Amino acid sequence: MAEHDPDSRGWLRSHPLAHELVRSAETDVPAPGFEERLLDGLRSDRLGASSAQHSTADDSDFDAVDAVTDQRVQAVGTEARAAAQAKSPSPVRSRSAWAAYISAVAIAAIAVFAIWTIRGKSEQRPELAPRPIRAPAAQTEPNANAPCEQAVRADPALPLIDDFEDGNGRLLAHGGRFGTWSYIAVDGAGPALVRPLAPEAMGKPNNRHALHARGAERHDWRAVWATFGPACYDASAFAGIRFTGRGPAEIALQLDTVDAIERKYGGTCETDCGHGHRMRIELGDRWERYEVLFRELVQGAEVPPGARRAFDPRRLNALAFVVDPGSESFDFWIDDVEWIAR
Amino acid sequence: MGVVAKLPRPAADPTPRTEGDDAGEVRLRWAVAQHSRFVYRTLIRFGVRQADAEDAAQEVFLVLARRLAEVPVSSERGFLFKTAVGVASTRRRSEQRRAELFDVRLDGAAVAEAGPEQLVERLRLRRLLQRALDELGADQREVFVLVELEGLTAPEVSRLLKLPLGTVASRLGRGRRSFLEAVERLKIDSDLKDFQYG
Repeated sequence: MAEHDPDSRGWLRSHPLAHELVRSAETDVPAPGFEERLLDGLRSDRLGASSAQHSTADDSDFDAVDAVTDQRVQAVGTEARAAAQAKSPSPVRSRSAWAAYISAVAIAAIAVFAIWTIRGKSEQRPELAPRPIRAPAAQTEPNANAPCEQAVRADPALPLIDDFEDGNGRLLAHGGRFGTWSYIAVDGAGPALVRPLAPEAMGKPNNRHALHARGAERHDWRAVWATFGPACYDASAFAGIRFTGRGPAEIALQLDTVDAIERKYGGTCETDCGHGHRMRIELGDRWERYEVLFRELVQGAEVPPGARRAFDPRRLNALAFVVDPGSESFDFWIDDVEWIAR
Repeated sequence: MGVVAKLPRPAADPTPRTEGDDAGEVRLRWAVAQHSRFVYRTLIRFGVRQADAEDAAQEVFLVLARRLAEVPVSSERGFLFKTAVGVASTRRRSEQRRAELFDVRLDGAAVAEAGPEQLVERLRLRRLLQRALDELGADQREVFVLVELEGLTAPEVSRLLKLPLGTVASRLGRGRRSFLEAVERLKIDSDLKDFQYG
């Protein structure tokens, strides 16, 4: 490489790694309307306005929601590691897998019970299967104030959250709800965010797109994430959430309410924030339907019982499919995400 | 250099220009049309996050608007470059560590085939390269960015930064060596961190 030749402008392109910097320089372009916004700002300055007005109303709505995602990402790495160290209950399995699983568990339970009875000892009973989640003994009442004064109520007649058939990385917008799908990666190097996470083509005429994520074994924390807009979304008209999924992967379905989010990020939480309500799910290698009821969602075991909050579907802020630290390599698809009717 | 450059530079004019300053308005519009993307890229190359680059570009052009009378005609690009470097430096100092965003909307080339994990890898590589860029001395970095990333020739950089051609060449050579050394060092550091982490 001609390091000393000032006319060799292609020098950087020939470097196997540094080429990416050239590539980024070529693709680092501002959003459409950039020049107009600059000129508007200059005019505003001349007229004494404090700052330029950016973006259209729609864009700024998305910007605000995206900003919440950006800010939240700062905290998730720490949360993730804590959550991984205190694993929540056994993962949910698909309905077809359940029958075999429950049979095996029942046999095991009988065997364990028999041994325990014969021994006459009060050994601790092992966790055998996902159990119905009981409400934690000590609950902190959610803060009833803003931002939920402006909450958008989900329409019971419109359960679909997204089927990805539009091929874009945005939540299906209706009834005042909007949002963007993102992919979040947290490693030792820090958090990284890919947005929007565009669905991948399925190549089927009746089901063209689905979300897809896959990664190697050596990862820290990953999530397919959508922050609802407005900041507080009321899904209390529904009883839970269902989706179609395919693995193999062990993930957690996580719903965050504004009460888990710090005030500075637009939530209402004062202390011990950032712990979403979740359910672990083991995705099999065939497409299956998975259902999680709101009452089954619980904050991770890393949250002390006294600090746990009840899940309040009137105060939703984000929906995520999370791959926790310590999980094996993952390769999963998500499709047809919708609320479950009461 | 033209006559304009030989005139004594007027003192900074703190008063806002009037509506009747049509020449200034035209010149600003021209500068935005010609150089706004260059300013945007420069800000990113000097460490401003992409999400903040538009606001920072606004800052840069406000400086130009307020000091337009001081800036010789045809020197706008050099003035904007120096101002962008200064704005980026100020912002970097005040900015906390924040998540890096691969904004797919702004990087259409990324969308076609790559899965999210590949985009994360590319984002991390960009961050490593950006750090390598950050390690260059200010003088080397300016020349390096203008030649390697903006595609200017050495004589063009010489005119833009008002530097002798020999100085541009030597800064470029040193910048290239320093950049490669920084990449290798950071790459090794990064691999070691991953190893320890895993």
